[in-house]
This record gives sequence, structure tokens and C-alpha cells, in this order.
Amino acid sequence: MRTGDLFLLLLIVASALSLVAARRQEIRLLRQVQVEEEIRIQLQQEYRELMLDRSLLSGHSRIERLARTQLGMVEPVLNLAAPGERRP
Amino acid sequence: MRRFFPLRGTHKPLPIVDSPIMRHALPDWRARFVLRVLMLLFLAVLGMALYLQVAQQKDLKATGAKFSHHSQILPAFRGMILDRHGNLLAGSLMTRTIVADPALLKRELLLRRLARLFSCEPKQLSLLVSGKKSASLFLETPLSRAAIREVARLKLPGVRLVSAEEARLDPAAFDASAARLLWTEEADFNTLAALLEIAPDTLAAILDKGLARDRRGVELKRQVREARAAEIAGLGFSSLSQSADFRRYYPMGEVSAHLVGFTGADDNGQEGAESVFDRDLSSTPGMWRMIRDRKGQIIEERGLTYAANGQDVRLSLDSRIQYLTFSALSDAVRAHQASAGSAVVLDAETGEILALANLPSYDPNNRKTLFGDKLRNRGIVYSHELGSVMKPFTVAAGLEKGLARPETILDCSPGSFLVAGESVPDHRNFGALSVAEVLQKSSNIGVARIAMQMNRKEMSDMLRSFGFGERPGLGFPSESAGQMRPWNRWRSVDQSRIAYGYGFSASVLQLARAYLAFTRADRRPVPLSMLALEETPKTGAPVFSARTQQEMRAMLESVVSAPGATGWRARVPGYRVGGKTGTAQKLNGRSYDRNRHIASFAGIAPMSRPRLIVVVSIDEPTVGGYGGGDVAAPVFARIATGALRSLGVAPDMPMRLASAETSLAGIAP
Repeated sequence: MRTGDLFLLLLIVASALSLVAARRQEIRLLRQVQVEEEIRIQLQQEYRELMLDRSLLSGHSRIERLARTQLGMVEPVLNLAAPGERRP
Repeated sequence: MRRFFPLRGTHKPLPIVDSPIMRHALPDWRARFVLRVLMLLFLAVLGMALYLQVAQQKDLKATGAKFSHHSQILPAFRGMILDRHGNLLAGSLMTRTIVADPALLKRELLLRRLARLFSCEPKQLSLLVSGKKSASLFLETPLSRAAIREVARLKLPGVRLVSAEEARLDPAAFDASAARLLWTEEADFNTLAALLEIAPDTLAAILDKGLARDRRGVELKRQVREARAAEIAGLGFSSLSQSADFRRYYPMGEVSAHLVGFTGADDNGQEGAESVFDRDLSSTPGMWRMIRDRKGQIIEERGLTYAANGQDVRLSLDSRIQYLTFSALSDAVRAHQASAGSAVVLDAETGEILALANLPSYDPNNRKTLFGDKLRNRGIVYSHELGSVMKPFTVAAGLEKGLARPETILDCSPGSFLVAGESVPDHRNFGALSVAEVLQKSSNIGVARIAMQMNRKEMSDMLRSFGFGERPGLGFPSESAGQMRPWNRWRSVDQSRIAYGYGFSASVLQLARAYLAFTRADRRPVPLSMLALEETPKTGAPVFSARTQQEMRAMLESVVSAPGATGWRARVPGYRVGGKTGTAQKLNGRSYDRNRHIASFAGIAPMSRPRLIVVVSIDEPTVGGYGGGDVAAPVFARIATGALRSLGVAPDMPMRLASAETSLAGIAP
């Protein structure tokens, strides 16, 4: 009888402690989720910022401006009237 | 057990005190009275406890929850709009709304100013004035004369200088002192204004207005970029708070404005693709309910709904071709001082819209300019009489019905033709022309002669099968179907007019869609698509026989390549292209205006294996010609040249450019 009671008592104490441990772990994990969620939002933001930067930097209007001003490029103007053809 | 106090009136000697004096001094009603009062009090406490636990339980729980329960909003991004290659056309970034408590801000500014004058910490001052009674501040370094003068000049009721080393601060009058403060005098205030990009006077006015209305939160600015918001937070004002919001960016700006559209203040699609695909793009923010401890850290979760970002939408648009189209169109509109213009580029196989540009345009990034007629997507919304760009459809119908062959000779003299008493005019007397030449020279009489051989129903059915009189079905609410009367209400003169593009109207997009009949073997033109397609849509039974289609393409090519043809300016180096010019007079009331035209060109490139359909329409050109051949055809050439090159289409014609013929105009000397 004595040993049986002691055993049950130990079981109760162990289960109570494990409950506390589980709660502690839950809180720890929740905080981790909170942090990760924050990071996720930040990464999404960064991804979009980079997409925007890429779009602005590779924008055709910018490339044309740079080609014309910095590199001094021009578009060749081609006369497409065939030789000897009377222009209407 | 013996009763300590007898409850009912039998006198028995008390066990402890058995003195006769005491017996008389303590009548037992008093003991009973005290006992009853105590019991009543006890009952009251019990009742109160019951009342709180039962009746007020809800309210009290809610009050408690206010302190510990917390809902965190998880922001969700609206979907991005991408072009067919994945370039960003519209995207949202998380930004911040800056909110100020004007009264608190004023107080903080005052504290900062005094702290600077007294060379101490603002925190120390704020502790002093948070007390109930006035407090003395002993200064470590005595005030300079200038500082003393400054304190006197401010005339602050809550601050009194006892000596150069001691100032008395009166908390009760301190707020009145803050109210006297002129915002714009403060250095930190000016820094804040500069960071917010608001003029200091304007910012002061906004805050004063809030102060006058006794507002605790005044929105200073929305959509502040995060880096900037961090700088503002770095100023350390506890009277400023920030909340998350979103800003939509359109990196291509005015170039793709009409097709991409824009969102309203509440992040809802208002125009263009933003509105058509609003349901896909829109997002739902998440919510995380939790219980927090004293430090604000989560200790228990009470439900989590994840944020759902909006879906990204990939349009059929090719941003490079779009840019080419927009810049070619805007150069032409400027050069010819036209009032407006539209251009559409379609994939000749799939019916995808590769580019759609309109002028005047607007910058969707600048909210202040989002009003007026420039928001209109002219190419889709407006319909007008097409003029000569319509003629190929009449000719094709004639070929298909066996009424003519490309080499059939039609008599187009003497330059006008009477139908039901009304004359069909030509520019000049063309004499006898083959059907191909009718298109090359754009003879109204020629096409009218072909049309008059058809019956009205046949002609009407043919036109409808090209998609005239029907909405192109992109999903824009204001898409135009054009106007076309039912055949049984046509008069003879209507039939001949429709043959050369008057008496009915269509949008630029409808015209482009109709040209698909010359490039695809569809029974009806494929539905146009704003979205990038994975595969070419299925073909049905053709409108035209393969032979008619071939002959039509050859004739359209000759409109550009034949000597003396109207479309020669549409030539593209290295590629065989074809198309048709159009110069439509605009209706002015009930008659046509000889001075206001719509110049247009609809073309196909390259002819050997069509990849593109390009339609250009320029409204009221006034300088340097007004005809489709002079105004619109060069725009087609520029768009087609660039687009074919960017798509990597192999040239299908030798470049017959003698060196003498090639001039590099525009090089600076």
C-alpha cells in the first residue's frame, strides 16, 4: 500500500511538472513564431523593394536616357525609299 | 460549548467578568447589536462578491482583457502586376502613417527647448513637471545673459527664474506654457517637417487645427517609406506614433498607365488591370489574438489567422514593346501637335495584348494628377469612324464571295460615283485600277463598287464576324463595342459608306482585333487577352479560305512596298510588312469637318510569318501632314522595327540599303 501511494504521488508530481514544462515550451515557441512572422514580413517587404529597384534600374526609359546622354548613342535614321523610286 | 453571548434574554453570569459594575455597564442588547451589524457587513461583502462575480462578470472580464489581451494585425501585401517577362508593373511596399498628438508634441518641444537652455536632460525636466507641486530646478552651470533674456522673451507662465542658478517649474501652468510655444521656432520641429516633406508652416497649421479641435491623434502623413519612418522615430518624440500602411508603386509610370491602371486610397483597384483583376490582387490581413504579460510578451495564443497576400497577375504586356510604343506615339503626337493618340500591339498568333498606349497619359504614382480626361483608355473606350483602314475587310469579303480577284480591273473614273443620289468621292480620278491598286491608292470608288455587289446581310454578317459591333471582352467596364446598325436598317448609301469606313464606328482595339482575321485562321477573332497565355488559343473554322488570306496579305504588303502606294512610310528595314493607311474626317455635329482628321495605320509584321499586329491612331494632327500615311505609318514603322528586333524575329527580306541611301541623321556635329 505504501509503495503504491508513493508511486502514484510521484506520477502526479511528474505530470504536473511536465504540464509546466509544456506550457513553458509553448510560450517559447509562440515567441519564436512571433519573431519569425516579423522576419517573414520583412523579407516580403525586401523582396518587393528589390523587385521595384530592378524594375526602375532596368527601365527602358532609363536605359534610353543613359544611352543617349552618357554613351552618346543615336538611332540610325534609314531612308527606305528604294533607289530610283519616285516618292509619292 | 457554552455560549459566549446569550442570544436571547436570559441573564446568566458571564464567565470571565463577573463584576457587578461590568454587568450593568454592558447590557447585552449592545452585544447583539454589534453582532448583527457585523453580520450585515459580512452579508454585504458576500453580496458584493456575488454581484461582481455574477452580474458584472462580463464587463469586468472585458476590462481585464483590455490589459492582457492583444490583437496584432498581420499585414498582407496586394498582389504584384508583372509583365510577360516578370518585370514589375505595379507593386505594394509597406509604409508608415505618422500620427501626432499635438498637445503632447507641443509639450515635448517645450521640454526640449528648456532642456537646451538649462543644459540638462529633457527627461529630468519631464520628471519635475509631472509632480503635483511646483519644483525647483538647480542648474549646474549658471544661465548666460542671452539664455535669461530668452526665457523672459518666451513669457512662459509655468517657468519662473529665481536666479541664474535656480528655475521654478509649476506643473499646473506648464501646459499653458506649452500652448504659448510657436511650433516653427523649434529646431526639432523643423527637422520633423523636413523629414515629413511638409513645409514647417503647413505642418504647424495642421497641428494647430488639431489642437483647436482637441484631437489626440492627427494624421501627419501617410505612406512614408520605412527608412524615412525610422529616421522620424529616431527623433525620439513619444507624441508621434506610426502604423503600417501600403503604398502602390508603378515603376513604368505614364508609359503603361492606362493598361495597368491604379488603386484608390483604400487599396482597391480603380482603373485598368488593377480594377479588372482586383479580386485576384486584393489581400486579406491576418490577425493574431494573444494574451500578453506585463512586458508585452506573448504568453498565450487565442487564435491566429494568417495574412493572405494577393495573387500576382502576369499581364500579356511586354514592357519593352510598351515603352517603344509609348515613346513612338508620344513623339508623333508632339511632332504633329495632335490632340491625342492611341496605339495597340497584338500578338498575331495568340491575340495577347503586347502593348497599349494612349496619349495624353498620366503618372499613376502621383495621386494629385489622377483626374480628368487623360485617365481614359482611349484605345478601348472611344470608338470613331475608321476611314480607309476599313477597306481591306470589304475587299476580303469581296474576294471570299468570289466577286473579285486581286487582278480584277475596276473602273474608278471619273473620281466620283453616285450611289442612291449621293456621291462617293475619290481624291482624284484614278482611272482603271486593279483591286490591289484600289488598296494601294485607297480608292473609295473601288471598294464601293465591290461592296455594292454584295447583299446587305452578307456584308453585315462578314463585318460582325471580324468582331465589329461587339465588345472585345477584356473586362473593362467601359469597353466600347462601337456602333453598327443592323443590316435591315442600312440604306444603299450606308452600304457603300461602310465599305470605306464611314457610317459605323469601332475602337482602336476592335480594329486591331479584326486584323487578326488576316493572320490567324479563326472563324471568329480569338478573344483578346490581357493576361500572358501559356498556349495559343484553339482555332475554329476560318472566316476566309487560306487563299483569300494569302491574297489579302500580299495586297496589304503592296500597300507598303509598291511604288507610289500610300503606306510607304511604314517600311521596316529587313522585314516585309504590310498594312493600310486611313485618314478619317471627324464628325462635327451632322457634317464632316474637312480640317479635323484621325490619321491611322493598321499593319502586320513580318509578312512571311505574322508575329505582330500594330494599330496606330492619331487624333487631329495639325502640323506636318494629317494623313495616315504621313502621320501614323512612320509610328508603325518605329514600333515594328523595335518590336521585331526585341522579339528576335529573323529578317525576311534583304536590307536593300545602298550606302548613299543610309543617312545617320541626328548625330551632333
